[in-house]
Amino acid sequence: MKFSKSKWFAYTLLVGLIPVLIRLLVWFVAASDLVEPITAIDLITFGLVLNASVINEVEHLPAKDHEWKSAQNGLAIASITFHGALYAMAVFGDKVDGVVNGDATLGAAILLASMSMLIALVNFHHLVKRSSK
Amino acid sequence: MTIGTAIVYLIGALGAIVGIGGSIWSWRITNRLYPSEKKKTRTKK
Repeated sequence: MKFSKSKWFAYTLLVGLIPVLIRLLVWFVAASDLVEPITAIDLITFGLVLNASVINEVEHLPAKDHEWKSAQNGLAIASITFHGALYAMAVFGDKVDGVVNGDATLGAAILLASMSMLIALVNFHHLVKRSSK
Repeated sequence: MTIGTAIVYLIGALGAIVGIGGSIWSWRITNRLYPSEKKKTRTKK
């Protein structure tokens, strides 16, 4: 099966980035401090979309890639768990003052989103290599 | 530092370890399953 790079870029990366891009657009248009340019929850959404796409991509691989499939499924599920836990902390921090440091939540969200991007790129590399054989 | 912030740091650290470690592991599996052409055609002289 041929792997389409443009399809992956459009469906996964751009769709995952929609919350981040829309918030940036609103922040730019509003030109005030009412809207924050970047939030932890948008980045967590981006990470979740990337991990869900990884699970979907590995679903259709042949038996030869069994080990790869197990590794990617495990990684994506662990990553989704971390994203879920961080989402809970972000929601809790929004509602209760002084319990969770907002900057720490944003930093952790940026780190987790970067890790999801790394996992998705490794998956992308595998699918490109596989389709070129 | 509050307990909530400590948990957030812990989640970030664990996520980074799993992400980097898992990516390296996956990269190695890919290269073993689909070796590059150069490696494939190399022969002993």
